[in-house]
Amino acid sequence: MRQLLLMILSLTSFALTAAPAAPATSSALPVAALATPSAAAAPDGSAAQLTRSFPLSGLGGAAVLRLHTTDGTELLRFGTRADELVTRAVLKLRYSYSPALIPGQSHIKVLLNDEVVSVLTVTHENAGKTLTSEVEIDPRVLTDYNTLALQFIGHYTDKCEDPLHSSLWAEVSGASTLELGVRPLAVGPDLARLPEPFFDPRDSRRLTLPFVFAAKPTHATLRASAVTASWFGKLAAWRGSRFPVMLNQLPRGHAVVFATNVERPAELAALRPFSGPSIAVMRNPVDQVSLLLLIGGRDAAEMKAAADALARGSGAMSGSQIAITKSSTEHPRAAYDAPNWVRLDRPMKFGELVEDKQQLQVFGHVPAPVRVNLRIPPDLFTWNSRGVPVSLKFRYTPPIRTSESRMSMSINDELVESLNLRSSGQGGDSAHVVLPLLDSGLLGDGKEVLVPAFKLGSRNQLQYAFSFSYQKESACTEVQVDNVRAMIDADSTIDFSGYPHYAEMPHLGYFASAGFPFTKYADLSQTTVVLPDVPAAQDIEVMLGLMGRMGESTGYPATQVEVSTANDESLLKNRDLLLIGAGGQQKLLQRWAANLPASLDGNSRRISQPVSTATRLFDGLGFGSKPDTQVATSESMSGGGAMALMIGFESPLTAGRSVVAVTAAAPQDMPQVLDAMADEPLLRGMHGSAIFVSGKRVESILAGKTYTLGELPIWTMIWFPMSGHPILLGIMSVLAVLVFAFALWRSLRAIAARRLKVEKR
Amino acid sequence: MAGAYAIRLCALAGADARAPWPQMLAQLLLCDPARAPWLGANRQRFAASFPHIDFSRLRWGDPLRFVLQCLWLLLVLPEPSEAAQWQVPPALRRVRTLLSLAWRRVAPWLPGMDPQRMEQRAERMADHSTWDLPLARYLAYLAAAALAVLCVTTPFSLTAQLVFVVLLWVIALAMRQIPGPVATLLLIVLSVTASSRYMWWRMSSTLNWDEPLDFLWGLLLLAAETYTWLVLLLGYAQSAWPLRRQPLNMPDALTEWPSVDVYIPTYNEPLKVVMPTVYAAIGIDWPRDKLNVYLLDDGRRDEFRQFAEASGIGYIARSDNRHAKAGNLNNALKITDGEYIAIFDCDHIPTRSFLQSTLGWFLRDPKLALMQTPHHFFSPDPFERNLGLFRRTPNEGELFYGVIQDGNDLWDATFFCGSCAVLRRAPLEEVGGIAVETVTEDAHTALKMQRLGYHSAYINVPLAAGLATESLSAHIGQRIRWARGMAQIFRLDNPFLGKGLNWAQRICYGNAMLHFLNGGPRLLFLTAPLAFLFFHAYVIYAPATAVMLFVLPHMAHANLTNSRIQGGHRHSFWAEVYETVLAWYTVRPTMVALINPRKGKFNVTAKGGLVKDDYFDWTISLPYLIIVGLNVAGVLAGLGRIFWGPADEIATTVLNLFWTVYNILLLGGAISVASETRQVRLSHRVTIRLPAVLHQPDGRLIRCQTVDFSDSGCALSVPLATGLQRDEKVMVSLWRGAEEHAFCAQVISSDATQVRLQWMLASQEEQMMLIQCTFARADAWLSWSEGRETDKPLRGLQSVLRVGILGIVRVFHYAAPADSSFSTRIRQSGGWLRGMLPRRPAATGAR
Repeated sequence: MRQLLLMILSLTSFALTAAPAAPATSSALPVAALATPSAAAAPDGSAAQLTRSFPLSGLGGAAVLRLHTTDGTELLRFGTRADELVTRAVLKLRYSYSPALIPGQSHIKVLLNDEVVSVLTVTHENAGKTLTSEVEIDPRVLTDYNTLALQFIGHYTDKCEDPLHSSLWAEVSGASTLELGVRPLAVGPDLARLPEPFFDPRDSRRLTLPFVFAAKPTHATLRASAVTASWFGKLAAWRGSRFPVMLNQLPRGHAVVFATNVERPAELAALRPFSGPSIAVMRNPVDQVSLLLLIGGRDAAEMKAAADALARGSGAMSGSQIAITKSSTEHPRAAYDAPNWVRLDRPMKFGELVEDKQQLQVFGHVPAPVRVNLRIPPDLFTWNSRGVPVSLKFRYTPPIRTSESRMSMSINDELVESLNLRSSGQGGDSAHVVLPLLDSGLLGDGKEVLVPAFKLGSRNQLQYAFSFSYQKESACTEVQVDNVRAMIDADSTIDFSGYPHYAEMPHLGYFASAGFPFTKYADLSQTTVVLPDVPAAQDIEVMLGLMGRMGESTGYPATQVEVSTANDESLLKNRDLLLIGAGGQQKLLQRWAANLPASLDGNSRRISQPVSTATRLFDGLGFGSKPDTQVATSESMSGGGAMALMIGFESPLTAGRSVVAVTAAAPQDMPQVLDAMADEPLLRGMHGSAIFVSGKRVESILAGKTYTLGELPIWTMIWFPMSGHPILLGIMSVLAVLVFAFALWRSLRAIAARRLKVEKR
Repeated sequence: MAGAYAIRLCALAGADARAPWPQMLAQLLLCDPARAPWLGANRQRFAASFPHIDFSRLRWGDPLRFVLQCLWLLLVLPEPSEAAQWQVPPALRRVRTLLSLAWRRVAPWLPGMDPQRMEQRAERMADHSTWDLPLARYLAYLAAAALAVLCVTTPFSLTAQLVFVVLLWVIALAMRQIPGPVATLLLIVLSVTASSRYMWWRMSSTLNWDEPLDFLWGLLLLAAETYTWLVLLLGYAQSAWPLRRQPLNMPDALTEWPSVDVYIPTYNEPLKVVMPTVYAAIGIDWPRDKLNVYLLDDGRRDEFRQFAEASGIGYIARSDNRHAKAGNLNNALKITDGEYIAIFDCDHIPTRSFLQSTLGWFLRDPKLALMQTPHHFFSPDPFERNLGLFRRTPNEGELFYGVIQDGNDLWDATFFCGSCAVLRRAPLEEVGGIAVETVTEDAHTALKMQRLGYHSAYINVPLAAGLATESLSAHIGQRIRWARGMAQIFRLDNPFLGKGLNWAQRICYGNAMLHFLNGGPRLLFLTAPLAFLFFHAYVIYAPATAVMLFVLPHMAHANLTNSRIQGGHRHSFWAEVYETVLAWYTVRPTMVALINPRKGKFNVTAKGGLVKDDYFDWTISLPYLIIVGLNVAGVLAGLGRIFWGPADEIATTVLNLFWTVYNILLLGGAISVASETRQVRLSHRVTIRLPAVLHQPDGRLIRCQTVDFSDSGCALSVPLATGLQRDEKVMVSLWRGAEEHAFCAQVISSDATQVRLQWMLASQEEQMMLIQCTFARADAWLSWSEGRETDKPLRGLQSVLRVGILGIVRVFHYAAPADSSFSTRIRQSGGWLRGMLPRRPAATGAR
């Protein structure tokens, strides 16, 4: 084994020495492995043993897992990364159960992938107490995707048992953990595996993937990295993504490296020069276990081509290296066509909104709701709309007792409508409960529901909760068969077409949650990211993090984004700008700071308050009053302390264009913004034109000039502002009435006089 | 601060300022704690305030009665004028004083409300010299039009809409205080704004396109509402400015007076009905040689020929009855040669001044082809008779003759109504005589003449009077004819199309015809809420609150404005009853006429008939009973929905229930008319005070006045008892202008204040003279509407609802035997409900 490795190494070192002599043979591996003695340590049992701990509440369980005998089992899902070997799995449970249970008959089954791995028995002594139990799981049972099930078998009496009896309970704390001991596995460098191992969909944790640059990456290089970051962000989706930046230094673990012939990290200086756009995978010389994804080209433009190819064509790659011969864009993306957003030109079928149609189907009497996620452009103008029509079709096993069986439709956990399930047709007979699936016994049903338009934010979830009531005849005749299922038809539609795009800006909430207005074009073709002339690593990290968020939002890599300094006028004018830069490094921000409601520049900072915020009392009267955002007070102060600031405003260079700036007191404070945006409660608190972020606190202010994006139909443009002023309109109508009445009086008087006089000859 | 208020309060209430608070409060409310109302002498006075509560034996409903009575005494009951009858208990009086003082405090803050000054100011503003600048004027129109569009179309949140409509309503109420046409026009424009806003809202945001049933119903209802809105607008255009034309004096030289033929067409009416008309026509003040009266008898009756010969008038009969009345008139037109033609239905008794009052305008305007005067009825129509409204509220026809025809006159669009009119022969012959294509030959003839550029005119002075239709079925028959005829004209000779009319004439004629198409929309309104109650169809797809906020202003403004325009001639909400009665019966004929206008025949309106016994016309009211039944079922379904339906629909259900109950009461009103009350008089008594002299057999003369009279007898009010016995012969002098005529009569009864007599007329001349001294007097009908209540919209609603309840009760009365347990129970619960109503306090001796 060892000899074999040495042989390979000597061979590659030969190749390396031979390479400069034969640059024409560029098809040869430019990377291969770097022969450093420290990396020669092959992966073996002595490699770092890691312990991963997952709380059950993070695996799809609730804060407390309540187990009942009737609801089936509590299912927890987790995956194991392809580049890791699980050596040990321990389930550390904290649970308690009802004192009424009969020991011997009652127990909790622990199943992994449908195999019983352990049984928690019930005793009288421990009943009602909080117990802890460690269940060792044989790691060989684990597969890529695993289902851990907790099933409660409970009995409280020998005869005439009621399976719904309230004393039948057991609860498992959501803080119970599943601990996995893992050892890294070396995987072969093969592009066909992409995006693994850099992103492994089995891993439900946030994606953290270091990006490695030369000591002073140019903005063109950063542009390529932005594309790659947004691609990874799109892949990571709900997991979230972060891209720590290493300048001229390789981290341990998987990483992405950006290099050109002139600009590359010192540790890869020995690499053969690129002869064109190229993507390669190679071992990380730092730890020899993990891999580096090398994106490069002779210059930054070629590197960008390589990044584009990775984002758009990774499916066609294999081998350890691939050269890009052509990268072209035939059709630029249109506005609002992000793949992750609902379509605005036609009704959208539910089948298009879910990854798997199975998500639309549920089992059991009170199953978890069917969830359908929706992303809507934040600037849909839904004023005066009656709602978004949802044409809903659903099927279900005929309920035995219709009066208490219903389907509740909610959006973002707010109830929209509850419908009774009917048992018309067959199935009304209580004796025959078992019906074959997909037989005619499953009822189809259609119903139009309107989603109140105002309840929609940019990220939404439609929830359809079925509940079937149990048949309970008498104490001793129990028929409990868990054969109930229900399904939302994939042909159900939701229709967002016909709404104009119009939004009052700045609204950093739109930016934080959906990357709006930049994501209006999914490839960010209207966006320029403006970085300091010499960006700090944190500046780049924030840019990459934001790009990742945008990719996650749109589902499309930001292939057309521009990255620029403050000096390139042509890339600043007539584009939406995302300014990033801490500690006074962002020149544009400094230039414009005077007119902004807030600023943060090193130790000096300024915060303004608006003339008025919307008062609830006044607005409660339905006047639709808007807050007066003019700056009323402004406080300037100076002092230390970590602080980051996001600020949104209209571009001073081009009217109707937006600027979002991210800045901080010092570069190391910058990533706080990403941390805050990754935190769901903090994200919800983000709105207005300026957001101060400090640790776990965000402070949103709406002050300063506002502007609007989008266009309204002419009538809406007139009606919308008038609708908030009934008194003004009332006075105006009285004026009109006066004018008309006076005119009528004069003309009718004249007509009457003529009628009575003219005939006098 | 609080102390100051306390002292002021006490000063107002006469309480002791230094007394402790609770005592003051008690003093304020109960006059004196030491003499509480339930103690001592006040007890009786207190009890008198609650006559329907027996304080010694309280029943279940009494607390509610007590509260209702208190509220009523405090807020509604006017200060009793006769203090002797009843005194407001001191406790209540003090609170009332406080309330009125508070009002007096607030009132000065309201804008100065001197109505006359406001009117002058309004006219000055309307007449301001700025309006003479064309630029300013047109700019103002342009701006106002833009504003109006904005006000009608801007969508509001519910609160904003509330604010908006309250503002408009307050302005309307303020305008209402100002007399004069400017304020009327202001109210009209406000009402048009409110209604247009409603229609815009209905059309833009209350149709549910997703549910076919809702959509269909909604569309139907919307069509009906659009029709109503259109008719409302056209009606405003028609009646905004009644011209109030005055009669024009005839030239002094009698030679200039033209010759006139008076036509009295008859077909099957009894001679007794026709006689007074003929007598009065003969007596019309006009040069004898230039006045020719013709009796046009389509019945070809010898009796009539002889009567005509005896009376010295022309008699024209023809061999066939082609084209009914129109053919009859056209036949005569060929035979006679008078320059002008006056037409009277055989029961319309003209006054002697008829021709002198109407012909003046013909001489002034050579293009004038028609002069119409109102149809006045001295007998009650079925509504008045069966609902007991005669001479208390305006009758059904008064709106048309009082406002609409007068308003049409402004636009030169008054049309011929078949009787009580003068036509110029030349234009009439130019259009080929009276029109025969439709069954409303009168309006059609006028339309034809106006298309040729001739004018029409209207004098709103009753110059002839006749008999109203005597039963509901006859009334409905007549209206069916009108409706069918108007629909026919609408199809055959549509006023909106064709040549010769100006736009105002088109609107006036068009509206007259459109008006008769109201049957369908009315039936829809009567049944629309059922769509929701039965089928759960949201015909107006909007939340109940929104519906209220849009519908109420629309209806309130329309009612307020119409009450202002028509109040003297039609009381508020009565139109709804009239329309409801006819709706079912006019739908089919109008539809048929619209589809095939040549179908249908002329039916003669029966007049002068009798109703021997009270009876209920089940046949006529059957459709309404069915609709009532449906509506009652709807109410039950609605109650079911409230109790067992989803909670978020309760408001909608309640709204629909209110609508349904209103419909039931409207239908009740219609049904109520169908219960015919006795009508046994052959000769209708007309209640008019005329000077008279009673010649007693002993030669004494008593100057007295008539109470009422008819062609068969009269009643006289006498200043002192006459001591006349039954069957004694007396003479009564009446005056025709300056001429005195004495008529023989026989006493029927006499008492201290009245003598009732029966005429004993020997000759035809005497009969003729009697008619001319009574019905045909020049001033006979001028003071007819005196002593009527003025219209108040809410009181109109109240009376319509009361009539509705009466109708429902009558149905029970006629349908269920009075002694059945069901009707007893109904009566009991009705009585219990009535017992809840507040009462006027009883008079007591305790003072």
